[in-house]
Amino acid sequence: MPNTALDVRVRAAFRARATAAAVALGAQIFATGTGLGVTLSLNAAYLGAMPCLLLGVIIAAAARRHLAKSLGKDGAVRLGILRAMLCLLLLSCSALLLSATAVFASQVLLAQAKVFAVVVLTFAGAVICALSGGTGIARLAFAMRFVLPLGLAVFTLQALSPDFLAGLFPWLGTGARPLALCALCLLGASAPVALLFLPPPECADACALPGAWFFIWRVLLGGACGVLMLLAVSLCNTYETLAGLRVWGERMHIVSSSQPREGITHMLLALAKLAALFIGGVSTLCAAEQAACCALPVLHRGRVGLALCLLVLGVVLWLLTRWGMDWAFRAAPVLALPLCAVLLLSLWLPGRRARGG
Amino acid sequence: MNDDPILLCPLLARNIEIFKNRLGAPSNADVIVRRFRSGAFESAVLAIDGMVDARRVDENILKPCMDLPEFAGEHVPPCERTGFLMAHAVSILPMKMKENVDEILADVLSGQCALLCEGSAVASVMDTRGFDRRAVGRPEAEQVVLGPHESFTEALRTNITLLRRIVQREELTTEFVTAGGRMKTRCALLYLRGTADEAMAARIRDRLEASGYDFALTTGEVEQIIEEHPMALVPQCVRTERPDRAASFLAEGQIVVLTDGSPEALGAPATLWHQLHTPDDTSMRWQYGTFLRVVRFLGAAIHLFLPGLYLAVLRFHPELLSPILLTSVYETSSRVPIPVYLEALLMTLAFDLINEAGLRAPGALGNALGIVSGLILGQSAVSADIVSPLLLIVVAASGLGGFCVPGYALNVGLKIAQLLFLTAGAFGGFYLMALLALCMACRLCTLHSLGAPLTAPLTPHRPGNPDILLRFPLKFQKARAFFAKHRS
Amino acid sequence: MQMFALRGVLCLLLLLMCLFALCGCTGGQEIEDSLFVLAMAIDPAPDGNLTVTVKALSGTQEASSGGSSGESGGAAGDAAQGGSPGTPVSSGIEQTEPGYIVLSATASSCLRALGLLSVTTPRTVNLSQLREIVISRTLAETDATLSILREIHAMFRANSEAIVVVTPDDAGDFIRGHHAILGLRLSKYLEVLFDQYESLDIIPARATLSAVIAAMESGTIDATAVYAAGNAFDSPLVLPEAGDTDRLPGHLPRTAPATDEYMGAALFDGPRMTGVLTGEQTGVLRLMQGSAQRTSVIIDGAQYRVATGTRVTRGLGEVGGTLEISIRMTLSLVAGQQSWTAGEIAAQIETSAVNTLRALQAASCDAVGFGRLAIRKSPDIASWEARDWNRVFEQANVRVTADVRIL
Repeated sequence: MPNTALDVRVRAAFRARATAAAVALGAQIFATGTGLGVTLSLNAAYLGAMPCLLLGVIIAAAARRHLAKSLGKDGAVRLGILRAMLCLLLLSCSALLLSATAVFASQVLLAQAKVFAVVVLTFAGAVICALSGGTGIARLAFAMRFVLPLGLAVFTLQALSPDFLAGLFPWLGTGARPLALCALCLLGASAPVALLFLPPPECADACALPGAWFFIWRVLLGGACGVLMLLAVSLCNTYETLAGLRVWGERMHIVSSSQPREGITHMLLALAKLAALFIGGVSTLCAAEQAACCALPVLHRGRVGLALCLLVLGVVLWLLTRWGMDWAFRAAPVLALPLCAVLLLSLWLPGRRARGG
Repeated sequence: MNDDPILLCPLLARNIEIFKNRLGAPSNADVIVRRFRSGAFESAVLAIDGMVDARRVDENILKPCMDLPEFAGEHVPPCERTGFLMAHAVSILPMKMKENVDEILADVLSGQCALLCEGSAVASVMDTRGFDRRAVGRPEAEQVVLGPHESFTEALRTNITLLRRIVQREELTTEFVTAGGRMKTRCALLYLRGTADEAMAARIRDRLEASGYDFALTTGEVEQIIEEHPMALVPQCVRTERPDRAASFLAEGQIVVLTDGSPEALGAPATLWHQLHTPDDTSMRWQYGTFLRVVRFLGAAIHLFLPGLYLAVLRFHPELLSPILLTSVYETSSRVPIPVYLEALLMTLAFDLINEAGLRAPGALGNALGIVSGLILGQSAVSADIVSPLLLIVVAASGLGGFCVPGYALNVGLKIAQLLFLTAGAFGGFYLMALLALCMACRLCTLHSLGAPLTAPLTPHRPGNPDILLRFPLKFQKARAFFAKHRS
Repeated sequence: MQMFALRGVLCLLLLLMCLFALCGCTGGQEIEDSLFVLAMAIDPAPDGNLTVTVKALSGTQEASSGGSSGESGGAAGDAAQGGSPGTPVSSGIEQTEPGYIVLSATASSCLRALGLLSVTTPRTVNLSQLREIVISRTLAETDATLSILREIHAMFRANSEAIVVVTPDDAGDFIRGHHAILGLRLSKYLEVLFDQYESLDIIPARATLSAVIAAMESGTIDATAVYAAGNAFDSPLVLPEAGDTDRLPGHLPRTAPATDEYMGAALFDGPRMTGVLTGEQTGVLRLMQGSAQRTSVIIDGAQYRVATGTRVTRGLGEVGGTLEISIRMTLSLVAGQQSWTAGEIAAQIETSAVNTLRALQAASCDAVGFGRLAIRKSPDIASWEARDWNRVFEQANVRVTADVRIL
């Protein structure tokens, strides 16, 4: 091994994982916000996403605490149950994010393509990335940690029209009650942060963990990007326009601009969003595989765990292309329940008695 | 090969017989076995004709031994006779005492000569190489505007000397390893003790010695034995034919591998950024180096993406074209009879054919090749409406970008990736190109070179100098590479 | 080794899946398979149909001799007469100048007409290079405009920056009369034309397809489109209006090779056209919107340069129980051949602005965007929609204050 201090490598691995979680959170907030939040609260969906951000921060703190208690310890039954729940939770997030990627791509970039073809291409890309394990995608997310938010910010600002403030009003959108409902439904969008409950593959044994703020502020920034993208959707469209957008992909695409030759800007913005959605989807897929293999070590041999996760993912994606996305959005708020269960379970795990024991 | 090593015996005639049988003498006319009287006992010199410097053998071995008085060495124990001659007669500097027949044969075949004595089961192997070798010349593939103009040669000793002239440090260590089973090739591992990680050198040594190949004649083959990901498009070691660059590898903590018979050095572990940096970047002022580096990165990006982007825009996203450009493209494309994807493939293939032909054609023909390819293939193809002019420009620009990439190996890798992106752009537009780029980037992030991540220090994070895309001033380059043992 | 084998099998399977997916399922098309439309015109046709005329790239610079008549199923020979009721009809292909062709089709909706054009050309209609959508005034004064524009906008890759133009003439003849009189390409000619007129403030800002649709759907602002007309005669007659830009297009005395004239704004109340502003009034409208670009202003025969632009503050207030809409403008002008004082110029501007606002009220068109201020006082959509802003706007008092500094 290269002669680099162990803590440098461990911190680098956690940095990459935390960045992947942040990207996945931002992407999930944006996807669920445009899919469900906008239909409930129209232009006030970004306000409804704020509690989700807060929940993401709480999960990040709980994950750090859980890692401190459980690293190097695989035998507890409760740990196995926790990891099984994590697997299902993260697999659902992965399905949602990858289907968002495919739907958005087919709306904006490949509108004349068959949706099934786009889904197959997205699934193939996800498989190729997942074969490298969670390390590759996490490192890729870390490499793009400045490029993605900067690109999103620059291209979004270019896409705004001079009268962009009009999209903010009325403040509460459809009303206070729908806004509260929107906030409740979007809580499940913080589920991707749960991948922080799993240590990076390089650090499966007991090692020096970074502090809680190491994870918290990264998750905060990633989630803030998602909320800001929802805000941008509101700024670029009045509530009447949003009400008329029936298709999820249309709502994800910022439509208004008075700048000539804005096609390149929109294209680059769409590509940045797609990259974030895809990275989020693959990160959660790899984490789901890791959780499954940790829950049942026999799945680790011959990547059987990955094959099973891919099988489930493939079936879900195929169903989504046949039945549409509506039922997926109705099911999205349900993610909050297993998420809370994972939180509570992590709080009740016994502490580590001895180093490695 | 037998597990038990074959050792010399005290009988000179028997030893000579063994060597003659192994080398196929007398039908193998290159084998020289010269028996002579050296004082009180008989001796023999074994060598390969043409590989040794005959004059040195005559003047430093044969003559002094044959001039010994008749009684010289009569009281020396037979097993120490070889040592007696080395101490009292032979005046050659590099020498080793060996008793293993296979080792002695390998040394003789490499140009050394062996001195055998009656009664001694030990031979003295002396470096008397005198074969013709190329003089130190200019680098062929790594020319620079400012900086040294020496390059490595095919002789291993000369290459080691070139490095030692630059790195005059006591920590510089040379280890010799042989690669190949039946046809052994000598390799030298050089590193700075205390700077490089000796475990990496041990790993290289183990891989070379454990490789099951019959031969590994060139640096390229040695690289393929060392590397960890043979299926990757990106090389995991960095090659250079410049001693100054190899010296910089040593200073960073890398292991430099020299191969006898190849005028290139390998540096490992290497990151992706090593492949894209040149000695020019460091030898010039930081502003110039940074500018050239940015141009080079842009060139690599153009080489990789431009043809694919062109096809993606034409087939999927024509709204990105301005109306004037679209009208031109529309009119020219209407006249071309083949689909734009095939057109692009043909032109890319033609460009690669011209490249390969230019490399293989003899000097005089190579000059005419440019005229032929430019006029006939380019101009005539456009006039005959077989290709559109804009596509020709795109392919030419992409080719130029490829020539900016410093490493030939990486250049070929990028060419293959360019074809993949071209196909992705033709069949899936920007989306498929973006997916492919993400998949390739993800895969790239998992590759290692002797345990060092290929994309570090960008990702995963490793402390390093600000020296990836932008070359900061030297005063900011405070740390050694992250894989060195001592970083300060 | 097993892992490597499994990975290899998975990759191979993926590759095969990708190959199936790649076989023509991604919608890629050679560029010459598309019909790039530059200008589109929509006219009403008998029996509730629409006639869609498009001017498109022909892909060749060679001129051809005239056009040929086409026919579509069930309507052979009826092309010139417009076809029998309910049957879509395609008329001949005309080449009015090298590089462009004009095609038209009549059907019950815009989409069906474009589909008919695709079938008869035969190329896929591509609206990504669309520069101009011309709607006849007769059609614009109905509620059909919004649905037509939505259909066009919803088409794959339609250029949402195409300018919406309303004409009192036949819209098809209007685009037939387009020629690139300056330069080589009609597309560039149109682009420069609209940029030039925008810089002169004689056409409204934000008359693009997406902006017009958004404004038509919005309850806080109303849409304005460009008003244009053809002027086939050149008349030296000077009409007794205040200035040249106070006239409407189609009546300007000038000599020019192009018959088309663009000036003024078509005002919409929701989806329906309800009025027209002259070029001069459009300039004042843009001044009030804060999007004025004109760098020289002619007031009472004297020319002034606008030095530091206009600052506009819009406000809403209550006076005696009636809503009052107010605008405060601050202008800096560089003196030219000045004959009026700053106060007199300010009064003149105020009068023009009040007149323009009253014209907007009469047309029930809140083009300035006072609704966007009013909505801020409503916490949610229900309370805003209960306010019936259109009626409130029509009855509101108007107050304009102009501060002019002459440097």
